[in-house]
Amino acid sequence: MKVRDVFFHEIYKKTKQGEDIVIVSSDIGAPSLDDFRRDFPNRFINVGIAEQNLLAVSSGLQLAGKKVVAYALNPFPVTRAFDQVRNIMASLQIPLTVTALNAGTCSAEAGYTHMPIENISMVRTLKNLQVVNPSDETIAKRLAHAVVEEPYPRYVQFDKYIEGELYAERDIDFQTGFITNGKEGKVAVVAYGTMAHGLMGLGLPVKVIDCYCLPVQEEKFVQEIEGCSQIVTVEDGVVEGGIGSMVLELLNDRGMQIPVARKGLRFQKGYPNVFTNREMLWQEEGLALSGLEQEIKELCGG
Amino acid sequence: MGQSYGELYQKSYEMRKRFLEIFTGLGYGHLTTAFSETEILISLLSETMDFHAGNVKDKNRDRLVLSKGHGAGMLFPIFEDLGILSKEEIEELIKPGGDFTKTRELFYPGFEFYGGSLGIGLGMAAGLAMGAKLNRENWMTFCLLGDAECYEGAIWEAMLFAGHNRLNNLVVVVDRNYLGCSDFTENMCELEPFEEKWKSCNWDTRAVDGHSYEELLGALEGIRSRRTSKPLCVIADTVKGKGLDYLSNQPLMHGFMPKGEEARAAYENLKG
Repeated sequence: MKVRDVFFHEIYKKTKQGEDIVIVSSDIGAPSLDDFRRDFPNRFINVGIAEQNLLAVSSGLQLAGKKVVAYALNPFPVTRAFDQVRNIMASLQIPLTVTALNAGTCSAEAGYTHMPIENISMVRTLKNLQVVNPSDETIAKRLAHAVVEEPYPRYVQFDKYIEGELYAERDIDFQTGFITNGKEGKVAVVAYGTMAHGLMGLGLPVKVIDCYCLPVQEEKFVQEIEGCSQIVTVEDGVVEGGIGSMVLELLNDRGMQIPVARKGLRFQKGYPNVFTNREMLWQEEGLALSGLEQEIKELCGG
Repeated sequence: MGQSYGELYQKSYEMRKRFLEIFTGLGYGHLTTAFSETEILISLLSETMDFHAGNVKDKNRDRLVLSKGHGAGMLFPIFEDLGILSKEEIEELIKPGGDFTKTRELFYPGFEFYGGSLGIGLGMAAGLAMGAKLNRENWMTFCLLGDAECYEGAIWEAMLFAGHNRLNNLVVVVDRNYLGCSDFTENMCELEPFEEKWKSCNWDTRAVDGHSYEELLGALEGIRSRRTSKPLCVIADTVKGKGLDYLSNQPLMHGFMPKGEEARAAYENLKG
């Protein structure tokens, strides 16, 4: 099942069990929301295409005692409503869960307007706010649990192509924020979302660190990479301010010198001037899995 | 009604005077907006809203979202008057380095939320009002907006939402002083016909003199038993800087705070 649908099915189950959950949508639905809408029509609130109001209304409902899941089309809850995100979620610490459909380039067919490719960089500038990129169904499930059991301001991006289970529930901890997979080796690959999911499937002789929840627990993360001779960061988003920047900052602040190759969207020829899709963009930007596989193998052999 | 009109007008004078004491001492604040909204806030906090000064965390308290956050200064004299904060607590709060953890706890009427980033408060108030309805609770939500704040697009998103959802437990008061920072609203970008705009979004409206307790409290009378499904917007015509003639109704006085000799003169010029 797709990560978004896993999440909403769990939310539905919890609501059925009596949790006081409200879903606020900015004119977006999902087949997995149909049960919720049928059984709890008063608790599915639609603000229309109005992301700023989505955040504001959700915060009022949360302050009235509800457990609120806001749901929007990415990138807009961050790009359009960034001021609300920074004041309501980061500064006031109102523990909303803001979920968004689309991550990175997964809806690139719709054009640049619909690519949440700067969102990680933007939200990384804020304190007291988690950014969750479920790279498997278990994370999505645990996230639904966290809405009820571990309320905290969270912004969640659902990639519409990610499905399948990679992790056990006991391994997911939003405070730690990352999980290490694969073999011990000189090379560490740091990624999140679709890139973490895809790279893990390649079975490369490297450790793949999936940062499914930012910010990661810094000291634990540094311990994880300090023995490596090469780091590769891979993200389906702009490199500026993204996870590659995060790794460089962590290393620099500790005076650690490990080469970091940052793979991500660079748009060196400007934004696409053609009708495009994820596959084409990845090809263009050197993010296609086959190419990445080759590059990482070369780094391992070197 | 708890106090006579005479007592309320005397209260207005005292609150403006106390505001001057607190904020000319600090040297920073939004005097003209505080004086514009004085009667509105006293009408809401002292005469209309249902909450207990000794138990501001009460789940069933009425809420006030002060969306025009630059107007928060006038809350302090009124909170002191109502016994919510002591003089010492206010002094501790507003000095540079003062700890505002306490007001950040988001349950003081007016501090349900930090305004200041304009345009956010109405949506939050609408969410609170809808939450009360879902909870089947009878508390009401009040929201104070600035008129120039209404240029923010998010206000209109929330107006549509509250009207559509028939949030008759939501009351907005707009401090209609016709001034933004740099100019009069009708010079910048006309808001008029303002009342009709709210009506067209399915709101009930009342237009009053925002310095008249007779009119403000008349508009707020029976607020819990209105026989309508619509939210209410009270458009309160005010004068920015009311009480100090030399600062009244002038552009570019938004963040002005008299200092030194001028502060002393302000006390003398303050009108009751």
